Amino acid sequence: VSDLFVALTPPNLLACFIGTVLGTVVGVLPGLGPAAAMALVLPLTIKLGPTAGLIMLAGIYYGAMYGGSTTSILVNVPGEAASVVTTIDGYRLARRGRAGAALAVAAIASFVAGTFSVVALQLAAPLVARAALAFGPAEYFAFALLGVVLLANLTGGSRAKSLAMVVLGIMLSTVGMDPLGGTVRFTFDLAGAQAGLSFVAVTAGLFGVAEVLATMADPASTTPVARVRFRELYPNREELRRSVPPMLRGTVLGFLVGLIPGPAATIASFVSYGVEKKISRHRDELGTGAIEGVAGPEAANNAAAGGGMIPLLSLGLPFTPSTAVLLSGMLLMNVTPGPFLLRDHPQVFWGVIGSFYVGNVMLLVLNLPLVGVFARVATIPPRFLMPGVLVLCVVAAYADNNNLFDVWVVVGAGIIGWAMRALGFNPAPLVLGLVLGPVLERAFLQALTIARGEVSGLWASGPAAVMLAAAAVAFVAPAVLALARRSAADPV
Amino acid sequence: MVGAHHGRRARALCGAAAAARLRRLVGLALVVVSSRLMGLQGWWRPAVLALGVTGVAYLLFARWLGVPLP
Repeated sequence: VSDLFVALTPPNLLACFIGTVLGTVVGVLPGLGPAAAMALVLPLTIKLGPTAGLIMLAGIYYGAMYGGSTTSILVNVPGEAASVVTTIDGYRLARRGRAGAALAVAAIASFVAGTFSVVALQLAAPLVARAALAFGPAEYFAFALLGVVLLANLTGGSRAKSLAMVVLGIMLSTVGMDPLGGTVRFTFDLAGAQAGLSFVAVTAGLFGVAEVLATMADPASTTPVARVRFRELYPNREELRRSVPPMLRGTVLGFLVGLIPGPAATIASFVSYGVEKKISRHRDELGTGAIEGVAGPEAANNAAAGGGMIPLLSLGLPFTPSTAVLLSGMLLMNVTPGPFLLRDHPQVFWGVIGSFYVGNVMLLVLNLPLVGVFARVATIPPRFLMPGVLVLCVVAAYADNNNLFDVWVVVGAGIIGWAMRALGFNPAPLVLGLVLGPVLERAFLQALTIARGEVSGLWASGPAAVMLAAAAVAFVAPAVLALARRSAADPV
Repeated sequence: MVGAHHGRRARALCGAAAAARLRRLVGLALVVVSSRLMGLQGWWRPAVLALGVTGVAYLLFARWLGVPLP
């Protein structure tokens, strides 16, 4: 364990600092995700050697999780896929002049969750990773389906509208190449659509461009946020008190979801928001600018980022694009992750783990003083701010895949997002469908392939059957309960 | 024959250069039109804002992050 202090040597501290700063910048900028940024600096990290190089790569990874919330809160554009949920309450808090409080709570939640996941990573890595591997395609399909049903109505309002949005999201996720067979679907012979609809382009359009269009349609409706005094910039005692329970719940949930293959950080933030919507004492305020809607999801996505390191370090299995780049970095540096990593390269293993502690402290120290600077962005009059947001959305959509088709997607998604707002549809469930769609499809096809085409293979194992039954109950129960309530209130 | 081929190639290159310039102007026009629609008065302020926003986007994405903008 003395190797843990390797992270405190000056070269490793510098590598950690550069990584976390780069990661924060990447998280703030929509379009350039952590995986792309890590790939860009990979040649540089190889020159630094395994310990410092991997510390820098890991710094970019969790720094991006940290920074992703900033644009979500300030301008309603998710800086990173896992920050989509933060826009729901974070942006409304910013419009009420509480941008500073939301940013500070996001920073504190990220710090708490990041630190917890590091401790859990040390204690439970091999054990939990083996348990997570028991999840096969059938279990994963059942889990994803249960997630879709439970989380569809996470923003409240009409259940039918939310389910329609989830289904639309899943349908949009099928555009492009079939994940197993490679067949091209629903592209209308457009070469740019073969890779599917860019997640960045769709979210930037649905949230950012739609916000710009709404301001254009009615400039008087969006008044600039008044400047607040310094002591009002940070969360007050009441906001901090309300943030603690969702932060803790989000941390544990996020860590557990992080162990499962797939876009864990994004799913974790949705799960956390769904849980808060069900059990929070202030659940009625969620969706209108409640601090719980920032604290829970931000803690969850950062804890999931830590949880995702467990399968990588202890089994050598990358479950996300970012951990895949980290794995390729390790292999290029002649470090093989897996059960023997601790025996063969203890300095690398404990150095990277130690850098997580140091990096989390660095991120908190860097970000809390910057809250005031970022909060001022929310006070810029929309007629100056929104044209910049529009350009940012378009460039971010293009930068994701260097594909001009994505620019048309961002424009189309913006118009659809604006129409959805006018008709009372929330875009968050659509994003959930878009994230879980490929997971569902891949797991479904894999499970069927394993079962040689037998549909019963989907519920052959006990956990899969239980989760599918729970999904069926969760889907039918609200309608049955509503019918029972109506017949009790209006007996014939 | 060779002259005609070179002529076609030169015209295609000129066309591509013109299209690239036009794309840059689209960014400027987008900011000018959107800021006017959001209530920014006159033409000078939208023009300065457009130059600033597209300049910052170019420096940030194309120069610093190396995104090959069209």
